[in-house]
Amino acid sequence: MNLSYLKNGETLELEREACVGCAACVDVCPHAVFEMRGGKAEIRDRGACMECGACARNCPAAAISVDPGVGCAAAIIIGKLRGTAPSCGEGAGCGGGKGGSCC
Amino acid sequence: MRTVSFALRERMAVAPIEIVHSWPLLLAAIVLGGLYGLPFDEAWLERSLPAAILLLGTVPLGTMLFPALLPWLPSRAFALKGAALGALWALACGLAFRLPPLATLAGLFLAVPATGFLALNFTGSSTFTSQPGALAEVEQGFWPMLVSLIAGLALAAGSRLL
Repeated sequence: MNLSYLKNGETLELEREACVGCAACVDVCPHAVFEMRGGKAEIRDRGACMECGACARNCPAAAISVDPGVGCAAAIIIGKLRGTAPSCGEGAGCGGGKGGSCC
Repeated sequence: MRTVSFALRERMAVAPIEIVHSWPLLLAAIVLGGLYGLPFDEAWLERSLPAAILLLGTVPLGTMLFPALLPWLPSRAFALKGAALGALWALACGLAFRLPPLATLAGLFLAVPATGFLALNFTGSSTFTSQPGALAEVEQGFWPMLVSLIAGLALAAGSRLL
């Protein structure tokens, strides 16, 4: 099965020196992007990253940064038309319009 | 470690919401199908029905068949995967309904962007796509889709008037 996508992991950054070795990123990443090596996290498969932001949110040392966002085409087009970040629109059931990430 | 999958059952579980969100396309397909059959005479339905079926079919194609076949469709770009389905569908309809070549071409130019967009929109439902990838697809695909739609409408009008 081919479940790979374009440009995955582009905004993912890991500051290895800041890593405290808790392995929280390894635990929470839904696509096994990270692995532990030498007591610190390392990016194992950047292309599998869907940029959901779970790693950055759970990193106690703020060693990871990623730019998560709404990913459906309609939200991106709405955002472009409004000159804002991608948004599902006001009243959408996925938290769009408030900077929420859903799709 | 908790990893996510995106098996057939999971893909089909999120597909119905895509159909619900596609009502403007369904409405447009019915209206365009009706317009294609004009003028209102005894052959109106005969002309409208194939056009409406071709256009309406893009919605289940882009929202149900696309996620079902997702791992096996060519290309990593969702829009291209969907466009391939739309192209096959338009050609199949052209053959099945014995549409004139110009009408089949019009259907092709209309179906490709319709299924391409629906497929692209599925990036919001998938568990492995990222926003930069979807953004790149929108930026690269928006104008070709729009031009294709306009060309399809012009060809459809041409096929009825010529």
